[in-house]
Amino acid sequence: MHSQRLLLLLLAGTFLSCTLSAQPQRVSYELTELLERDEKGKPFSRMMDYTGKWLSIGQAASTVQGMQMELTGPSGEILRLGDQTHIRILHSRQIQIHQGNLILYLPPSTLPFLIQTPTSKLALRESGTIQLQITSNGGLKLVSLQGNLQLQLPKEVEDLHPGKLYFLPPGSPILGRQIDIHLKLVTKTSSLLKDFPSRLPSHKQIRDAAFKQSFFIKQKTPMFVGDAKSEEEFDLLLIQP
Amino acid sequence: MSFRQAHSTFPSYLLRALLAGFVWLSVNSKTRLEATHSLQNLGLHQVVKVKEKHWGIKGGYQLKLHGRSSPFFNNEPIPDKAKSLVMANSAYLNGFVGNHWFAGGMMRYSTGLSYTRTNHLEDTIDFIDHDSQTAFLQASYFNSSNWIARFGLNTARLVTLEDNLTQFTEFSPMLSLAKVFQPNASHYLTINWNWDYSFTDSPEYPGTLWTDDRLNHWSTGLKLQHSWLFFQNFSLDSFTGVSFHDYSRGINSDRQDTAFSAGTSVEWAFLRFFTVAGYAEVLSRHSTIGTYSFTNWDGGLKFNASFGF
Repeated sequence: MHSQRLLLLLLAGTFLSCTLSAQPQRVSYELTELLERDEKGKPFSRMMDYTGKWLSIGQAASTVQGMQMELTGPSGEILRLGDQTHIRILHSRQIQIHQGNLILYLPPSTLPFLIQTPTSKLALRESGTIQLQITSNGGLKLVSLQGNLQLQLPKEVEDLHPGKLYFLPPGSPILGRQIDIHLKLVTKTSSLLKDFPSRLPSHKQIRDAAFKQSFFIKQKTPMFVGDAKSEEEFDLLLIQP
Repeated sequence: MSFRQAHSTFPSYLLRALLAGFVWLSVNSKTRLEATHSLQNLGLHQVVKVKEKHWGIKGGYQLKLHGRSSPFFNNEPIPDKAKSLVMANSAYLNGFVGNHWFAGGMMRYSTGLSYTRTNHLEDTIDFIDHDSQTAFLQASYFNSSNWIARFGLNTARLVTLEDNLTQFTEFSPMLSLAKVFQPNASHYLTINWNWDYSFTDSPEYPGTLWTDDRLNHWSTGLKLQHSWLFFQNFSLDSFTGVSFHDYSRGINSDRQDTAFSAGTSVEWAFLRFFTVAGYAEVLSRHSTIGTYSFTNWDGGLKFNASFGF
């Protein structure tokens, strides 16, 4: 198991070395953090080995198990990739997510941020921070953490509210189910938010959004939203004490 | 789109997809979760019910039945005939408006009034039975670092039932600052500092130092409160505090009091609107005027019914 993990990390390192350019090109995303985990699961930075690496148009970034990565775009947008995530830079403010999950921070801009998934195309406007996860059914799970992001789909434009989780079924031109989730718990348990040495620029706004939501929570249920494995259903995990 | 509920326990469900690293979450003190990679990366997505609310009203009734070690609030020995159960019936109505975002925090304005009748169940001391009425108007500011600042005005009146005499009326501008710590989901620790000045009006005895403003004073205090929510509907609430009071009028012109207080209660909430609690409290006052010093213990039961919307 240990040697398998070392092999995976070695492969990932080789992959990053091959795919990340040393010289920034016209549109580039800078690698601003790379985390791995030690045997106890504690994160540590590998940036010493990857300082000054850039990802240009057409290039891909992948993370293996236990690895997390932060990329900073030309207009200040930040992508934090969870482990086992694979994305490709298509253009300035345009990415393709093949699998996995990430947090996207978008500073104020007049330009949309375009995202392609295996089954959908969508645009995000305005500013904010959002979690994105490719679900097992090929759709997308989105959680707005802060800001006034606007989601543009082929047949729908939706304002995304902090503290709401949205499902986008595979190939669907409109959003599916929307669920209120406990934002403070997300901030306390998301390693993409809390394990990185530097905070997201929107850290305070995320904390404020969670605080604001806490005033209006009527009831916390013992249920947790999980994956969506088929087109019509998603897992709702029930805690039994 | 429909729900599919996984009724298996959470850990066994997740163990199948266990990846490197762990996120531990205490749920109901006992359940621990080992998260999958997406849960670890993005965090736990607990379903909550949210309703944006900018006003509310809550009314209720409270019955307290307790023993009291020092019914006259002095250090004189208590004759057996004065040892009496005390019964206090209260009705209250509170309301708030606001919950608006302001300067990086939440602002709320609240008001309330209460009416309490206190009876001593032993006839020999029923001459100290009394009514008290209180009202308050308060602005509260909550910030995301769990600081709470409050300012407002409290007013109170105490009337002895035997002679229907208003013993005092007071108006108190107040200011307080509190910090709430929440080490985990079931424990809350609050440190609260408060300051107020009481303008009072009491029966006057002309030509003596018993002036109508002899109970005017300023107070400041520090209070530490802890709340532990356990099982499903139980809580253990404890407090301790110290306060300082400085009087400067009439017969009390050289009076300074220091009071120490502590207490604990175990409360059970049932049928949504009701709570019942057993409690014990102690108040020890040390005054520069000896007759105002005392130590009093209260212990008993309280029942509360409230309804709000």
